[in-house]
Amino acid sequence: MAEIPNEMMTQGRPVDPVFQDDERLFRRFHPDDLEDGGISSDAVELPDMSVNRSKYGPPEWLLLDEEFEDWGVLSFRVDQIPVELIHNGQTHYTFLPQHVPHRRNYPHSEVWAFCEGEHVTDQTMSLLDPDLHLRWRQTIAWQSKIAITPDSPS
Amino acid sequence: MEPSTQDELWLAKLDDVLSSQPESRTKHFPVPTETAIANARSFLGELLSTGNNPTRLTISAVGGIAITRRNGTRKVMVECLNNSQVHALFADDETHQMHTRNVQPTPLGFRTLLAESDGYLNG
Repeated sequence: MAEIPNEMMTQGRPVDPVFQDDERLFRRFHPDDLEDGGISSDAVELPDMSVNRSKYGPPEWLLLDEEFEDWGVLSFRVDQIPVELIHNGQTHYTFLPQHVPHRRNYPHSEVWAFCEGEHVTDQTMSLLDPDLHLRWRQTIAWQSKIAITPDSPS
Repeated sequence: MEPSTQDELWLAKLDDVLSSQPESRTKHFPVPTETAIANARSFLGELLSTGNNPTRLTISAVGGIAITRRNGTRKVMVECLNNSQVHALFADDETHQMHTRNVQPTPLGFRTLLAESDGYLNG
């Protein structure tokens, strides 16, 4: 693994809860998730989708681990997250970025989903309607740009 | 025995879905359940029987198997999920129009979906 830059370490810095609309979020994706030059919705997933904040580091930091060296990085702006969706005219979903720093990755953040105000987690995935999840993933895939092109798909 | 026809190649790919995927992918995504694999096999069989092939078959990031057919800017992605549900996404990369629906994981359900997919992909 490449050495982690000192600036990437949290080193006691606090959580920064403020995301500007034009801040970009970076997400690592597998080479197989390139589809006809675009990004497959398979590169995007809830709940708690891991991303890194552009405010605190470049996209290259997502590929420092050698097992990810051939992966790519996509990016999208905070204001491109579908913030609010109503499913079947009744169920209210919201989606928000959250800064979740790790000790060795201060920029680490997650996009959280809420169903009627309740945070959807791995344990409560049944709250997330699969059709709505599919549409949300495809929306992010369409909005995303490739920040780092992966090596050729396998 | 090595697969010889295109159909056999796709079925072999599905049978080997764990080992045929790059190690880094299976390491980071949920392993498909037997139910997901069985539903994917059933759908793939119906698809191949129509003389069509998928354009993509992979482990889904959300747990299960995703099978995609694409024609130009349009695609239909069928996700056979680990919880035994099957959902289809109809999406157009040019217009960014899309819709989804759940699919009954039965031969009739898959044949109905394939007829609908043909109309969408060739429409």
